[in-house]
Amino acid sequence: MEGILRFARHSFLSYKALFGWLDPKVYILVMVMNPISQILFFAVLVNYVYDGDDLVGYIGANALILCVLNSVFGIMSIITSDRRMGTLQLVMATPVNKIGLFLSRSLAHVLNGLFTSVLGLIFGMVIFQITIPLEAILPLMTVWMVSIFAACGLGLIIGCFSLWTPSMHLLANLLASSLLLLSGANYPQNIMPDWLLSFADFVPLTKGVELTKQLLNEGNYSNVIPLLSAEFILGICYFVISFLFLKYAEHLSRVKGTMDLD
Amino acid sequence: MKDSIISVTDVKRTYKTETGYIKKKRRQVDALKGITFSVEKGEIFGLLGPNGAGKTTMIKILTTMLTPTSGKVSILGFNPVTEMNSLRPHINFILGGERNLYWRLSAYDNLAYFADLYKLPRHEQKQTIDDLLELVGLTDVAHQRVETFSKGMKQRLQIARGLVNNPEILFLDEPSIGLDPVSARKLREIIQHLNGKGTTILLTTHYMFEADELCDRIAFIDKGEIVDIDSPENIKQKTDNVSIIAFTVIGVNMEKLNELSRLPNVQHVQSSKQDYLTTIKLHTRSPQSIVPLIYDTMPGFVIQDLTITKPSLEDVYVQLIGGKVL
Repeated sequence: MEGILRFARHSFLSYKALFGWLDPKVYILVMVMNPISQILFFAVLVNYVYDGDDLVGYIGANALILCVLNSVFGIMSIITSDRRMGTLQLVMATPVNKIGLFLSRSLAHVLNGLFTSVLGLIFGMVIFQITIPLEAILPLMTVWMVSIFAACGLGLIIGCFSLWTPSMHLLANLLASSLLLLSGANYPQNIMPDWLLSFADFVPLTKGVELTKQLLNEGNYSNVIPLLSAEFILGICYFVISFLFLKYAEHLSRVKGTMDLD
Repeated sequence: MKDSIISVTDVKRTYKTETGYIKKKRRQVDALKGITFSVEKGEIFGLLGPNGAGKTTMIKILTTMLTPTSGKVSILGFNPVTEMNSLRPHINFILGGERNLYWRLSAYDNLAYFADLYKLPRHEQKQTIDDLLELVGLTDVAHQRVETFSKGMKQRLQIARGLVNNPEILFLDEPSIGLDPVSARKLREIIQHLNGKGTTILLTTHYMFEADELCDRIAFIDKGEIVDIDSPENIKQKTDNVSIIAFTVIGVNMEKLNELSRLPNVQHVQSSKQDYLTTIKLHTRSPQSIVPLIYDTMPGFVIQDLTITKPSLEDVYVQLIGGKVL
C-alpha cells in the first residue's frame, strides 16, 4: 500500500512541478481551447468529405488524437523541465528505482490525455448532435487508456532526445503531425500506401483509432482484445526503449563525462 | 583514532571529447591528476581552489554522479562506482545557486517529493519535514511556492532537502554562493549545528573566511592536484613567519607596483582596485625594514591605512595557488 501511495504522490507532484501549463488561463487556452478548435476543424472537414458517413467514428478518432498534447508535449516536459530546473541530476542520484519513477511521472499524463480526449469527444457530440451507445463507453475508455499509454512511451523516447539536442520543439511537432498522419484518424487506413501502412503498424494510436472507429461506427468489439494487446505491447516496447536511452544518458554522464544532466 | 569514512587514493579523472564529423578533433582534459585524501567521521572538510581546479569533479565522484578514470574511492566502506545503490541512501549533496528545487511546488511538497525518492517511510515523513523546516527557519512559509522565495530561503530549503534522508555525509558544493552576509551567516550556523549532531560535511567554497570558520581541515586543490592539506591554523603557520603589509593608495600604476615587488625580502605583491583606491598587500618576512622603503619608493603618494598582520587563510591561498601576484 505504501508503494502505491508513493507512486501516486510521485505522479501528482511531478505533474505539478514539471508541467508548465498548470496555470488556469494557460491550461484553458492550451489544453481546452486548442483541442476543441482542432477537433472542430477535422470534424467539419470529414463531415464535408464523407458527407456525414461514419461521422461519430471520425469524431471519436480525432478526440483520441488530442492526447498528443500530453503524450508528446507533456511527457517531454518530465525530462526537459527537470533538466532546466537543475533537479534531474539530483533525482538520478537518489536510490529510487528510475523505471518506477518515470512510469509514475507518465501516469499523470496518461490520465490528463484521457481527460483531454473525453473533453474533445463531448464537444464533438454536442456540436454535431451525435450520440454513442452506452455499452461502448467502457471499452472505448479502455482502448483510449492503453493507446495513450503507448503514445506516452513514444513521447518519452522523444523526451530523452532532449538530453542530446536543444531543438526539441522541432522533434515534438514532427512526432505530433506524424501521429495524426499515420493513425488514419481522418481517412480509412486502407487508402494509405502499403509502405506507410506497415510503418503505421509500429506507431501508437493507429490501433486505438481503428478500434475507436470499429466500436463507434460498427459496434464491432471482436478486434478489441487482439488489437489492444498489440497496442499495449507496443507501449511496453517504447517505454523499455526510453529507459534504455535514459540508462545510456546516465552512462554518458557518469562514466564518459560527456553529458551534463544539470 | 577517529574512523576515516571517506578515503580517496590517487584518483584521476580525464575528460575526452571529440568534435567534428569528418575531421574529428580530439581533446583531453585532465581534471584530476592523482588526488589523495581522507575525511574522518564528524569532520567538516573543505576543498578550496580556483575555478576549474577540479573541486566539482571531485564532489561528483564522491556523490556517485561521476566515475574516476583511475584510483580508489571508498565512502562509508562502499565503492561509489560499483556500489552506488547501497551508498546513495547514506549520503546527500547540495549544490549552490537558486536552481535544484521545484519552484512550482511549495517548500513542504519539495521535501515530501524527495522524502519519497529516498524512500522515507510515510509515517515518519510529516515529523521529519516539520523538523527540517524548523531547522532552516521556513516553517511559516512551508506551504508557499518556492518561486516566491528569496535566494537565501531557497538555499536554506536546499539544505533541508539535503537532510531529508538524514545522511551520514553531506556534500556541499559552494553552498553560500551569491548569498547576502546575513543569509550566509545563517547558513554557516546551520552547517555547524548539523556537524554538532554528528553529520560529516565535505564542502567546497571560494570564501576563505567561511572555510576558516567552518572547516576542521582544508585541502587546497589547483589544476587537479592537491597543493596542501591541513587544519586552517596549521596552514596559516606554514607561511614561514611571513607577514602581510597592507595599505591603500590613490592612482598607483603598474610601474610603481613593479618597483615594490623588487624591494628586498618582498615575496609577493598583490593589488586590487576599487574605484580610485588601490589596496596593495606585500608578503614579507621582515616587515619593519620594508615599511620605510615603501615610503621611499612612493614619494608623493598618500599612503593610508597601513597595517602589518599575520596572513589570513586567503593570503595563504594566494601564496599557494596564485592570483594577482606580481
